[in-house]
Amino acid sequence: MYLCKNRVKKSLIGLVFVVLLTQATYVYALDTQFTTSQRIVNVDTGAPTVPVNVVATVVSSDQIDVSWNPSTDDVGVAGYQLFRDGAQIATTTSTTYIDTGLLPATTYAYTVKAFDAIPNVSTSSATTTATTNALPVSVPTTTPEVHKKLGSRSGMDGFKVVVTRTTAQFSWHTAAPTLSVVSWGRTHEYEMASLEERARFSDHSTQLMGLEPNTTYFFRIVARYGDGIEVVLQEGSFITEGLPDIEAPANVSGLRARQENTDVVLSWKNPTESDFDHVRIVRKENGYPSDPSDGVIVFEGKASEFRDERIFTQGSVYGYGVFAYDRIGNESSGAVVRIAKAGTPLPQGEEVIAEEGSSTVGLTPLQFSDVQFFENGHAISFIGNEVPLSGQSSFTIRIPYQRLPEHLKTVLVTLTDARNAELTFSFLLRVNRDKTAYEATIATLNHEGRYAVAVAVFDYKERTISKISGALQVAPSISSPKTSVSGGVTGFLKYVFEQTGYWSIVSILFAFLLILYGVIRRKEALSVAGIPGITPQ
Amino acid sequence: MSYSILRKLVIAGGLFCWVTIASAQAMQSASYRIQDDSINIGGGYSSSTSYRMQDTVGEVGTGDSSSTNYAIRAGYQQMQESYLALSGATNVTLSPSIGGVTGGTSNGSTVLTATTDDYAGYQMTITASTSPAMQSGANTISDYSPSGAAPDFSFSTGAGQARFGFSPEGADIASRYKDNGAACNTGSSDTVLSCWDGVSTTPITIATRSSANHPNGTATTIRFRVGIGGSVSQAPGTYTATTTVTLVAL
Repeated sequence: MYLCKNRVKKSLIGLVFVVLLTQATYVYALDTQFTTSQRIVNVDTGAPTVPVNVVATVVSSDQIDVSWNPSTDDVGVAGYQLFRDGAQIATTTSTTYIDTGLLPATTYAYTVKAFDAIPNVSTSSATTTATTNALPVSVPTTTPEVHKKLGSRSGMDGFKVVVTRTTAQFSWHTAAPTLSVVSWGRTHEYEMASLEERARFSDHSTQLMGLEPNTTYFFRIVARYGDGIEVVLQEGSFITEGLPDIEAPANVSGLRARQENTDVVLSWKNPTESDFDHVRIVRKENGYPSDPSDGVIVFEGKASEFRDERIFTQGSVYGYGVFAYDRIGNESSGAVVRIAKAGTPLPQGEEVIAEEGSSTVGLTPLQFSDVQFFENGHAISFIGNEVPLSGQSSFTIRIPYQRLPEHLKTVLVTLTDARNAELTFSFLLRVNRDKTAYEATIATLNHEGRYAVAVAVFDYKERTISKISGALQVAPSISSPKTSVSGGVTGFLKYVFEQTGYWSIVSILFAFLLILYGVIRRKEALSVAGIPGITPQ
Repeated sequence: MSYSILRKLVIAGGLFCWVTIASAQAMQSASYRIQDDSINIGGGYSSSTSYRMQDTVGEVGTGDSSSTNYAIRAGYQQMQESYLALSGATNVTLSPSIGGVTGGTSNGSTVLTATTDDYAGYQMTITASTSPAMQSGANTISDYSPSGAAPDFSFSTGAGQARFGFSPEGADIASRYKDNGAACNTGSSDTVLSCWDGVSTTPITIATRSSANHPNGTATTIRFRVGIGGSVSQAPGTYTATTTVTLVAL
């Protein structure tokens, strides 16, 4: 019976469990969890740093662009306040501002303050000023008497000048039909020319042409009325637009190539032009790269050395071209160098090397005198077969287009330092934009003295190489004069004075006096001791 | 009475009780309500002079079908089951950042949509994972504590207080969060940014409904606010409160 009761108890417990389990599967509920976050920041009692490098760039007669370097703050910069002539004109989160609606030929002073979210405001930046471009200045042109005569006919409006690089378009409206004369020149004498209208108009339009780029011109507009009255309507000046920068930068100088194991190491000196941006190095097996796309681009950057790794595991002769670029994207003609794996001779190619001065088909023999040299834009005259250069700036080598064969060719110029035949570097001449010449600009040569110049024209059609040669004579640098040492004590002192200054001379003289004093005292002491050969005085 | 007879009686009684308890009627407790239950046994062919019926054992050919005029819910004991959905909850970043010493107030909100076809409606609660809810490592911001039993009509922060509170808004908010324009837990208005309360690790009912709202559902906006008093030096950092909103069909 006890066993029976126990089993009944267990069965009841199991039944209850089954019932509860069945109910637990019928829960109808959902939940979703999410977070709420709050950022507490440091105590921000400090103001941002003062904006620096505030630059005001004049854009036009009524616009100046202002920019500055970003400020920093321990918590965060919220924005900037821009002030013009002491009055706040803008609040911005940017570091640039375009200030428009300004008056022509007016100087504005800009300052910038930075602020944070508190806001803590920085102190004011340094003041930067800029002056908007000038527009023609209107001058009073009519006396009361003339004005009275003209009555309602006087006056003009809608005056407008649109300037390009070589033209200026004037337009204006007069209250009454007038015959207008526009005079202009580079001075207030308006000495260059005048344009006179052929009939009387109220709406006037005149275009000045043939102007020089980036040049200031003065003008005057005179109205002639039917009753003989002449009135100066407008006087002023304008500046033509400048030419875009199309000038190729100078080539790198001192381009060298050396082998280190299987690597080729190139070194060079970048041009010193302010708008120099970077160089591109192009590698070509066997030959010279003729342009920045002729070969494999192996480097781009501002460095002055590059290692072309494990290159001699593939081939044995490589030509490298180093092309300098300016910020606009103009490229130099290219400095070039070839290098052969140690033990491998540089191949001469299959071309027939023509005799120096020999002619290419249809052309008279190329002479060294055909090569033109320019320094600072001025042509350099030959002295014999030498070209004297000042050595103060880069120079340009140019061969007139018509002196070279029309078909495919490469013009290579090699300079060799006369003091060390191993110091050579080569560069290409490339046709200029107007196809008047093949040319290259070379950076300032580092050393004074004589440089041998070899020009080789590779004619791919005729399979010939024309070679001509001459020399450059670079004058000593003015900025670092050599001082020769003349003979004698005076010359020595002069040399020391020139090299080290006044106090060195004083020191030497003081040392000399000390030695002299010591010698005299020693003689006196020996004399007192009765040493033979010394006579007491 | 032999053991065998006793065992049969117990089993028979148990089955009787089970069928009675589970026979398609609602069951409920304090927390849950079971809409429909069933026992999936039986089946066969029945007939009389007036009709005949064939029923099934198991779920055969079940599912919902519909046409222009009819909707069929086919299957074993197809009946109305509760639909319950809770959507829309997103993490909330209060804005702006508050200076640790300068103090200030920042706000944020999330919107939850509760949908049910349960004729008895639903209940929505909010529960914090920790107390206080807002924590950043060892640093905390106190949970909002209303000045009385009812939520505060306006959020207030004393100069020396740092508090984290919430305020629900929506058609179904609990009467505790309704107001009369000046006080909470009274009236029938739902004034924006009013009736502030503090979260807790025990569920707080923020919305309740006594009817179905399927399929549109009802949105409940939970606004959160942190207030740091001007004389509080609250340690910098990102404080986070984890909360759970639970939706229960009634």
